[in-house]
Amino acid sequence: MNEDNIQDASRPIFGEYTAPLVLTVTVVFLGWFFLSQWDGILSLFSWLGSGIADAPNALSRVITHYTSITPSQWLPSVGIGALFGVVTTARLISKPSIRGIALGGLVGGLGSQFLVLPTQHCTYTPETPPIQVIMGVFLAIFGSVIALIPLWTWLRGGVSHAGTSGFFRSRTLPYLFLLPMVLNLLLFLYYPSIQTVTLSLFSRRFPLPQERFVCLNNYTALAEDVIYRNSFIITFVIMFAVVVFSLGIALGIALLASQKVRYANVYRTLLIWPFALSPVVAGAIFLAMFREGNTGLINALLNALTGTTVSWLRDANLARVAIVAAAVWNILGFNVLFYIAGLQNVPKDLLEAASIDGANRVQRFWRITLPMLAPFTFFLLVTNVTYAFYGIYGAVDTLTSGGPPLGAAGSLGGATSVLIYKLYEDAFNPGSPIGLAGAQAVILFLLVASLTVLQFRTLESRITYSE
Amino acid sequence: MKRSFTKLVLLVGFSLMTFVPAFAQEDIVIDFVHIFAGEGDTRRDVLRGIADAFEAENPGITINLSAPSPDYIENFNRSLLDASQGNAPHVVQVEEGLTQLAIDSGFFLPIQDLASEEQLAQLEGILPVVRAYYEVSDVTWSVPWNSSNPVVYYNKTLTDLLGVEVPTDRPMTFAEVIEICERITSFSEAIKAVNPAFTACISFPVASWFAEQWVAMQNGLIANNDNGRSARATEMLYTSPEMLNVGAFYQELTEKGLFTYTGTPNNYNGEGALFGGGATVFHINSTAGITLFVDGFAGAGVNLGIAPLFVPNEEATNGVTVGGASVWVTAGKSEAETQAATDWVFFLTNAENDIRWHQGSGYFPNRAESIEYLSVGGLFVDADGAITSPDAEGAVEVSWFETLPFFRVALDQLQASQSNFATQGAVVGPSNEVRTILAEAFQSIIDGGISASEALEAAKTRSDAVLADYNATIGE
Repeated sequence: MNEDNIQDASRPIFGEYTAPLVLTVTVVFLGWFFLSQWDGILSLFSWLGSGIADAPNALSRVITHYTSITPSQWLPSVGIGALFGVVTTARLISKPSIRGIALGGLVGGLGSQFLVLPTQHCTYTPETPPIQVIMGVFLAIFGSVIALIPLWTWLRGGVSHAGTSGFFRSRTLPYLFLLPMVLNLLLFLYYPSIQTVTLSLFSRRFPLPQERFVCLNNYTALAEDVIYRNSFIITFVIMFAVVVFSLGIALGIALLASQKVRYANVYRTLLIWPFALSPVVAGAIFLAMFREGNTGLINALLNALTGTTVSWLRDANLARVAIVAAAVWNILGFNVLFYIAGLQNVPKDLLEAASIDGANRVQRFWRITLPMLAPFTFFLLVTNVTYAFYGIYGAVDTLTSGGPPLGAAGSLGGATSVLIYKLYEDAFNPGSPIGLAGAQAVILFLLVASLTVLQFRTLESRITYSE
Repeated sequence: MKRSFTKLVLLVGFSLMTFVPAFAQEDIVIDFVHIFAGEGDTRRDVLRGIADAFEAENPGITINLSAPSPDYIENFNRSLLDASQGNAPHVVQVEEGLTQLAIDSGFFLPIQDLASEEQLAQLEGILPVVRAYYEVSDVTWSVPWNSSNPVVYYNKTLTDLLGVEVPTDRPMTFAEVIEICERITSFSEAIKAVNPAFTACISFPVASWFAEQWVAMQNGLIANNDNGRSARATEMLYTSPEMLNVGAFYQELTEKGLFTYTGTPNNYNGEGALFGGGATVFHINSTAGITLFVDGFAGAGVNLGIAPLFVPNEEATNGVTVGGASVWVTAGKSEAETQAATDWVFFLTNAENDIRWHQGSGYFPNRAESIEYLSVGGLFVDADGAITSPDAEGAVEVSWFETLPFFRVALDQLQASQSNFATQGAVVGPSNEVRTILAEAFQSIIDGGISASEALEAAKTRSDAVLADYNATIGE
């Protein structure tokens, strides 16, 4: 891109009035937006203020913690972090200086305390069970990685600005522009995440204030809990079914809807609308269909035709079918939308060339259409997996409430009690063990995050994105 | 440019105005959180009427009624979270099952410490079995407000047609229910010919609440330490002979194909709809739904019968425990606000408003004097016997209960209850969890083909673990 282009792009539409106009509109909008929520903002700031005012206390609590325990309890975690920092910095940075490696050790050692400090070094005692010791080491390394990544970037010479088309004259302005987003992330993402991790180390009963520090016991309790293990398996089974059916059916529908027929636009619009409904509404619609007795649509029909009815929601497998059906129906529109768009991107000349070469319909689909759709399929795979883990909650809540119970008195869990549903139940019912739910939230997050990374690592490299 | 600036000034002005009134307020405002959130819920109007009367008597106090959710649990959680942010309401309507949790929260003050002599005397007038529920370790924490009980609803048109006699002056035993249901089921084909929706003889919510009643009727306890009344409960008595009788009832109903339900536990509305849709002949639900059922069946041209809740056997005469909710005053408010909140609680539940609330909502009258009055008066009819307003010309006052006898059924069973630990009902902190587990035990009997003893044994194991964990975190 050359100088002229930059000039062109920045030519003001309203001439010299552009700047004041934009400024005024922004100020008016922000004024209106923030003033109407003044009470909320005040309480937010007072909360932030009290947080800042509490900082010296927090610091003294940290110091008290380190002085109250023996160095043999906290030194190992620092050592692990420092060692990790030295080794990784030496290996990852080409031609590292001694200074850089030393910095790596320092940052790694300090960073290790990010996640180990909230656990109060409870895993670094002689009495700790081996599994928790390993988790403690993992936490130290994980904390180091978080601190080391910025260091590595800096040691490599920072982010290159070569080839970028513009720059800020002021040094502070870019940070000012970043501030709202950083604040937003800090307040609504990082802070709650840290809170969740902290929560997972306590035994607490929602919504009561009493709490008891239990180290990593919530995690080990979950690992030993047959109900939680079953919930894990059920989640994967349902996720697999939802993804396979939602992608398969969506592709089929998209192929049909892409045919040259009259009123194709009308069909397409109608096919997409289920996505506009929330999962709860989808669940309610499917409840009206699968309900017990003659009030359920399907049973009324079955009764009229065959004289018998099926207890859809009272059988473990049928209940899962109902959940998968509701979830698939709900997300189908989204998938169809993307597949229709994808199909329009399949080059016609390629298909024509193939048919001239004698490829039949099926061959053209498998050899050309499907590979050309790969980027869409990959994107949909990631979003559908995420939906099957998180978005399915509404359907489960309205349709089955996690039931029917498995085993005597639900001692093996619920047939449709997927992880996100169990998490919510354990977190927000009165008297429920919210610390345990915190641990579940951390596990679920790590699970979905690692699945997503895995998908990117294994699948994305095989996809060719067309220009 | 200039107009934008004017607009800005206007916007700033308007926005300021929206929060200025908050500062101008000098009256005491009492926030009362209740569950009657529905748009068309007439109970809200009754409540507003009572609040208006209170405000008229107490100038300078405003009652701010708020129903964030129609769900007890949601409101309770929200009130406690608001409290942790310093925005606690003054008075909260708390469901009976949340009693121990409310005490453990440290968020409420016992009403007996706040009440004046006169107000304490007002507590004495409440039916003992109702009042007893809200006494834990001899401390009265809250004032009962909307009280309810389960009763049996049945399709009288159908039972009359089949020539099945259903007693309503006394409760049927489990054995009688099974016998009657077997007779009704033998007519299945004939019933389906007129009513294709017919699925089974009886349906009711698969819930802990009815089981608790049936155990209380047999003078049995749900939790140890006298139902958690004399000390914190550490064990759920789900394998007691009394509870096993209940489990066996579920098992027999299921094995003989007499029972159906929606598949979801605690689904009071769903099961009501199933019964209302003609799927079953018998149904158990809360008295809180009486008006709804009476109106619904009248609209469909079907006769609705109401009978007392079944008893496990003839010896089970101990009576029932009360359901519903009570009103609690929160801690941490100024003296004047706490005083006003206390006064409001006692105004809301005084004899006059007790009657008004019963007539407007269908919940029980809680006071002996209200019941006495409604036995002789409380309803006005004109010369033709049609219900009219007290001010209408020629209006004659007649007995409310005699004219509307279905309100009487549940009240009789409550009044006939003995006062002891069994009818006082169980209080445990994680009541929601242990109640859910018991409902799952019944579900596994009904749908899982598991025997009553095995299911209840598993329920006890699970519940005791929950109690142990709760007590380790909260226990004194």
